[in-house]
Amino acid sequence: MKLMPCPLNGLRNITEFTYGGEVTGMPNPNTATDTEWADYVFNKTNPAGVVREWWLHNASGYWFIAERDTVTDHIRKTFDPGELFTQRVDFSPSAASSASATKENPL
Amino acid sequence: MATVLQKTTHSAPKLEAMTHLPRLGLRGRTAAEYLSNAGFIPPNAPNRLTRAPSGELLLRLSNSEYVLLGAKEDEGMRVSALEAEAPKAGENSLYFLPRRDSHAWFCLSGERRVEVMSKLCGVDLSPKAFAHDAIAQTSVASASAIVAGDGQGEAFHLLVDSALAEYFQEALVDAMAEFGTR
Repeated sequence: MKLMPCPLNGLRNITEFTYGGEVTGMPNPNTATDTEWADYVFNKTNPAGVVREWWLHNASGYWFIAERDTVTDHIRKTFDPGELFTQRVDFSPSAASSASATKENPL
Repeated sequence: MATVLQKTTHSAPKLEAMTHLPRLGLRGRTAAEYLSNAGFIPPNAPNRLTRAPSGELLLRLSNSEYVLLGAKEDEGMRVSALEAEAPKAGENSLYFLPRRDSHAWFCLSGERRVEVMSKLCGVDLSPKAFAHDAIAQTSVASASAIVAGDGQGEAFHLLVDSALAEYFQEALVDAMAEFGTR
């Protein structure tokens, strides 16, 4: 049975986890072009080797980051995302999108 | 009164439905402070719980998320009172979470409760590995569940998605059947 060490809950069966994609840097949503945003949302690097990935522990709803070798499927380490992300990101709609939403839905 | 779902022999496991009792979730940077001010002692680490003298269990699920389970003795009145004082969501970085709707709650007691759970759950819940104030957020009978001690080493409290309550109860009763139930 394949096991994964969850930083919050300890060693657990891999069936308790859900893969959440590669960890990538998010462009500024207010200044990124559509092409840059689409690249961030849809395109993956998919390297052969060690990659940082988001994983979810289903039972606790806890997201964390794992370093996994995609060639050997060996999980090198897992850690809390707070080690990488130290600031809260608030998404405030731009003036243009707010005006558009108001026009489409006056309520 | 809690409903006893399975008649048992003296040492056999016993399952009680606790879903009717109040329970409350709290999340946010100031959640621990809020609970302290309300007279509870927040556990000092995630996946630990404390038992109040009046019987409530305070479960710490992560660094900033808690679940408060009402006491059977007073039908959860103390938790209900706290629930009624819920501040506006996000005020002082505190969010109340309505756990009454989201989670069904069972209590499994009896000397052979560890053997029952070993049929349903991959985590070692024996006393040598699982302290009476420990919590395991894991898969039980293929459902995501929270398994908590009772702070006294006499029972497990089980919280599961309320939509799975009937299935979960049947799985537990089935697992209990070989341990002297009648």
